[in-house]
Amino acid sequence: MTVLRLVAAASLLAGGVVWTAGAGEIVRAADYDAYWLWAGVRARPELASAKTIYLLQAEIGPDASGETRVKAQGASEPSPHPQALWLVYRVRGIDWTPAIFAAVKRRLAEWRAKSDKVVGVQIDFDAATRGLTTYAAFLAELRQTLPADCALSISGLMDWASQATPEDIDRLGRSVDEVVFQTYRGRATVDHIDDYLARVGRVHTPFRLGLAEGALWSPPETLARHPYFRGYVVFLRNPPQ
Amino acid sequence: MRQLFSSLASLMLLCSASQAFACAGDGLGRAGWKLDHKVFSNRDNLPFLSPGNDSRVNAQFLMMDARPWPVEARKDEVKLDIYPDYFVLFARDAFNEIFARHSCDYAGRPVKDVTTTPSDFFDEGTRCVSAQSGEDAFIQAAKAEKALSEGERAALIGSRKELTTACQGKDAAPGASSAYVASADASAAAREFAAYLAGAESFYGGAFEASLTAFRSLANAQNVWLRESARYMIARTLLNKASVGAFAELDGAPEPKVSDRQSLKAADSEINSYLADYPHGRYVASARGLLRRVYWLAGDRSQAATEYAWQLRHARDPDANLRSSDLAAEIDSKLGLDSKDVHDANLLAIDDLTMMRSADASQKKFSAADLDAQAADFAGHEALFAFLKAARAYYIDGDHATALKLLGDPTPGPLSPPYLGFSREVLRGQALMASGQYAAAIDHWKRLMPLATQPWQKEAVELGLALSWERSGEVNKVFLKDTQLSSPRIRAMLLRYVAGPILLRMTVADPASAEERKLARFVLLLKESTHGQYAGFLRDYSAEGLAKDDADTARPGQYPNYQSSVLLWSGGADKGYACPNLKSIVGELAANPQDPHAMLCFGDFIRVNGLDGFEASRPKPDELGGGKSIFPGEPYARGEIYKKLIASPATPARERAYALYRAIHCYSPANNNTCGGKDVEKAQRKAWYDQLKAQYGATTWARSLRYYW
Repeated sequence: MTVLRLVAAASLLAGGVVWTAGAGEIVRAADYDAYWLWAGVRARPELASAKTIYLLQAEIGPDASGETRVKAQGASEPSPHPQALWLVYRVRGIDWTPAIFAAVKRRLAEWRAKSDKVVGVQIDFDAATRGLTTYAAFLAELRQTLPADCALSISGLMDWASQATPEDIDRLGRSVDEVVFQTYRGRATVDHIDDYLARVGRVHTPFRLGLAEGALWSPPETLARHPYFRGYVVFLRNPPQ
Repeated sequence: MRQLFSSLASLMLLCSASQAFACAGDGLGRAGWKLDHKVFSNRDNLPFLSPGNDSRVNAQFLMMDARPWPVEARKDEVKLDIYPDYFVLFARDAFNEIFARHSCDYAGRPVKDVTTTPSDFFDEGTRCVSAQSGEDAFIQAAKAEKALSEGERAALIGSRKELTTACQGKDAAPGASSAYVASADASAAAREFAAYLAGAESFYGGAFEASLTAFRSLANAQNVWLRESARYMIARTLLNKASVGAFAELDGAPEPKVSDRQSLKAADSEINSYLADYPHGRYVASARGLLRRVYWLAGDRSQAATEYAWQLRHARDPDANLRSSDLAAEIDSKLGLDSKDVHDANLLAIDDLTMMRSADASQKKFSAADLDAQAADFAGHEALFAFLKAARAYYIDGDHATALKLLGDPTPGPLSPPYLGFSREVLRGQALMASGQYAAAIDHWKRLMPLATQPWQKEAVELGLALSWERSGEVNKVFLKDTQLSSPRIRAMLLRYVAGPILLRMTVADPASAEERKLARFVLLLKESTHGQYAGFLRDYSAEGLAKDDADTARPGQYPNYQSSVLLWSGGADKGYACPNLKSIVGELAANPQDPHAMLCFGDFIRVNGLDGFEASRPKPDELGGGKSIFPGEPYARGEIYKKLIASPATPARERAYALYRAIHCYSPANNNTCGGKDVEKAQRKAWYDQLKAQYGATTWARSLRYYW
């Protein structure tokens, strides 16, 4: 045990964070206040009491002919709501034409015409770790396109945490206001999550952690004290019928 | 290396859309190289009706069976990998790419003719979808109307171009209209066109009452385009009016909440009367499509099911207005099939197949009686029903004899309809194999081969043949001249997991492709060196061959899956332990397999090149390549080498110190063994650590190690 304590002390000295995991508890939507609402997920009472909702708007990516298309997703039409809203785009390719940037901007305007609670836009893109530089350039362009008062959020892969340098992620951070790292794969929290989180801890960009409803989760002890940690977002799933 | 995580939704999107219908299991598992897919896999679909397929793929098979569907030759360029992670046999996206283009889009146009314009972006599912096509049609009609003066025509066309600002995200000044207004002395035709313009402007702007008034005024218009278009637009306007506020809630899977039921009812009757009056009208596909929305908004599942059944049978017709993949997805998300409202054989079949997936104990077994209860709905679809009964007996009961009996005798000639016919014959082969009749199965697969004409079907038959040969101890036939199979992926699986040195050498000498030669040589050399076949390795090793393999398979702009050049490892002195190149190391091992230095250096070769996991996992016994490996010797585990060297009194001090250092590192950084072999307890790792510090404290390895894991 001495040796383990030594490790902990070493990483604390290096400005790191200690993460320990217990058995974990099942993630219940009611225990959190921010959610992803994806296409296909039915309305729930928890949504009414939520503070923040990340609402899927569209999928953007190449169609069968290879042309990049915006395909509307989800069901809610722009309308006033008390919750803070992020408009989320599931993105499969970042070679956007100006028309696509314009479409995203237009959609933001449509929502803001109905609601003064639209915080910003979130991009959900699985950038390969070695493609992070290109992704950073894309995000810088998107940042330029969006109005200054529109925040920009991205989802983050645990792969980045393990394979990219913290500097890579901080480079993304120059354009974005937050990164939401997803801690799950499919319906379960990823194996060795603590190892990943230990690396996420070195990031200097405001971040949230994305949890999957129903997955097991045990919060690392010092997470709440992390200066850049901004809370959780729960990916809602339909309860079994 | 490989991407471990994917989008936020990964599979959850699919599962949540209609849980009972689309998913059992989370779909992230691999189905494996076999024909029995009983668990849903997101990425592995077979080219026949199968419980494990995405239900949307099965739905598309039935669409293709309802109408002849063109088949295009598919160029399948497969990049082989030493960690085969191929789709079995295809992902839904690849399937959609091939087939969806042969169906029709929302306007009844063939999909391949559709060009994407910016106005389409957020307009799918909104009235703006027709802003551009409506403009084009209006302009054409105005040009064709001889009763218009040139001035009127120009003014009308100009006005229409400015009309749909509401759809372009521009703010129209409230109350202001840009529509052309016919003056007192305008022609009758101009007044008609002007009325239509007013209606269109109100429609796109969301002023539905005004829009209805304008379109209704054209009931007796002289211009036939205006008369028909206005009729259709009345129906659309009513439907839009009924939708107002129906989707205001935050909801990812909306249950529309319609307050204006009266407009919805009126829309239904207007659409039907338009279809009755204009059976070949220009808006038939669109109007027919709007019916699905009417039924959905009305919550009328029974009517919706009837309409989906029609669409499914007519996915290639000009009267249909959805591409096949979108129709399948819409059926999945909007209809679901867990109700009593569905009485269509095709729709029931899609659901029945998902019921044949492996159920957990809590779920009710899908019994013969459950299926028999649907008999009346399958009247006229007896062949499909007979297949489902046989499939149910096979997948649920595991009763191969009954499955064979229910299948009856094979019918001679081409398979008809293509997917059902093929599904039936594959099931026959599966049942023969499951009952151990490999000789009969092999004959059956050979007979089926020339009849497999749809994409991936030939590979499915080859899979059946390869599995049968492997089970009956004749795996070589996959590669022998007279009997060889063509699927690069099937051949690769067997070369990687089953083949012995003779077959691998044969393949290096006479491969089906450069990719295959590269794979065979890599597997041959790596297994020879790790299984202790050192003389063979030295005989087979060819530096030129390895370099050429990489060069022959390089693709500009793409990362290779793996590089044969790792076998050209030149040695090194990582952490101060010097090693010669790989060939020399194996040469030392050939002279003395227990040479501590050579053993440690070989371990470094494996470690530095990340090859510890090369034989960590094998296909399961019921999968292709899951039989006994013909390659002699045992798989290699670096962890066991270190243990042996630490324990042996003959190991020199320096070698033992390095072995201790490496053994401790096997558990870095996350306490899990990355070296292979049997895991050791933490106490053992501590003992190693203490031994290294106590006995070899002066070595750089002892000094650099600050903890164990």
